[in-house]
Amino acid sequence: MLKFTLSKKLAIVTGSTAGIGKAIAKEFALAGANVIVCGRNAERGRTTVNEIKENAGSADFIPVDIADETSIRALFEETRDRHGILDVLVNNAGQSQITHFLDTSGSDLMAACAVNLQGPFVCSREAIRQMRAANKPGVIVNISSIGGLMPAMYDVNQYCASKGGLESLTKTLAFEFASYGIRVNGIAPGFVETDMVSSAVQGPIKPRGPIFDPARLLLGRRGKPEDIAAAALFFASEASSYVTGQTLLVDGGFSIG
Amino acid sequence: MTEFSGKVALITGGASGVGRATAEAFTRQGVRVVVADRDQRSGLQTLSALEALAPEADPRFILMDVSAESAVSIAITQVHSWYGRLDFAFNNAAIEEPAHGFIECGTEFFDEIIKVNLRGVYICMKYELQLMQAQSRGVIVNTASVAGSMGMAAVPGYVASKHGVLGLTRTAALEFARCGIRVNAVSPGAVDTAMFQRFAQSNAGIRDATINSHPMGRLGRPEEIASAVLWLCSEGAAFVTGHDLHVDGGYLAA
Repeated sequence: MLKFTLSKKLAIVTGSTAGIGKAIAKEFALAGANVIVCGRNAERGRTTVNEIKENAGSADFIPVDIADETSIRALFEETRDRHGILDVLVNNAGQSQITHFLDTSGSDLMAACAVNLQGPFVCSREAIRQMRAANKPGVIVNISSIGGLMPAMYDVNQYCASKGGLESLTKTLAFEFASYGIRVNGIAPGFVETDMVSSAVQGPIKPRGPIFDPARLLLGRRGKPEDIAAAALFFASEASSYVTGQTLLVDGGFSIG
Repeated sequence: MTEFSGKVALITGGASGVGRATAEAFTRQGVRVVVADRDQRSGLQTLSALEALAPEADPRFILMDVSAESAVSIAITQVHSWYGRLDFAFNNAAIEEPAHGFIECGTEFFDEIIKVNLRGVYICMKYELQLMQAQSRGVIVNTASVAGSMGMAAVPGYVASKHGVLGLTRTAALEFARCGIRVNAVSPGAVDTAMFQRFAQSNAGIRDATINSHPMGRLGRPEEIASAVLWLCSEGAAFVTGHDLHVDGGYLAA
């Protein structure tokens, strides 16, 4: 059997009430994990849980505001109390806003960092705290972005800066905790069609940048949430047991073009 | 039945180490594997092992040295005539370099290691891509190395050859993406194989120093590289091309 199984594993997937996070939660549940679906939108969260259960999977919804450290601590405590020590954390919750750089304030930058960098930072801290206390191996998967590695789009400088920070965090945590059996890897999606992307591009500022150039879509299509979910499953499972500190580019070849 | 059932894979250097582990992993998934290697004895042993792994396994062995273009050309033609298709090509054949030193390496050894590790990969890719282009379908995985992304003292030929393999990987990925062909690389750290044992004997203390430079504190197992190759060949990796997947116990993140 290919080792892409998460049988009997407990996984927390942040921002899993929609989009990429939801696709990851469903893929993990299909692979046998008990999935903690979390986010701010309780209605969408419960819908996701029900969809998983209808497919004979196991899931629970716990609300969290990823920009709020106290809310994150509560998420991890409640998960431990109800379900036990987690095996897998996917830091997927993210936000983006399109603003002209000259109109972008320091607090716009900090708002992006609160979700995209502080969120994963605090979640990883609480996950590793529990894993270390239980002397248990574990896996963290950070969903960053092609924008955190190279210029792909204009007018999202604060988003890209926050995702760049997340890239660094993947490596430093991998390095520091490798000897404890904790693996930390990242996935950098290219252009993936989701609601978050659609609503951002329908905003007042016309989106522009190389990521929109059809000539850069080497494989002839944009990404789907399922492409990211498959990569997340590879990292969460024992199939990647010797992989840590790596960011997998799931970008249809954008970065080599 | 899996998504891999009935597909055909060619593995160079498939008679030992990472190549053999990948041949076994593919065979368990129902892939029909062609093991290509210049070691006849190990190749035939591997063939027997694969036949025993799965009742429907349909593996073959081809005696092939990647430095010999005519042998590679004949091999690809042979694969096509046996199975009528080639879905996956794992260009894994390579030789190691003893830790002799930049100057001590010498031009003769340098030429030899480039001939096998880099030119050999080009030759294999050339014939594989011709076949895959005609099918409008195919996946290539090249074995690079952590040495393909950083400098390492005393092994200039190996480092240069593996940097080159990444270059070939990205170039082919760019050029053939629109033909339905994905090309990626896997970069192992130190893996517990006969190749590593030979390398470790070339210099006292190298074994421990190498292990300690991997944050995970151990060598990789051949099957851990194999599962990454399998993933890159799977439908789950359909949006991944031109990527170098490090399977290195954190070596490159350190």
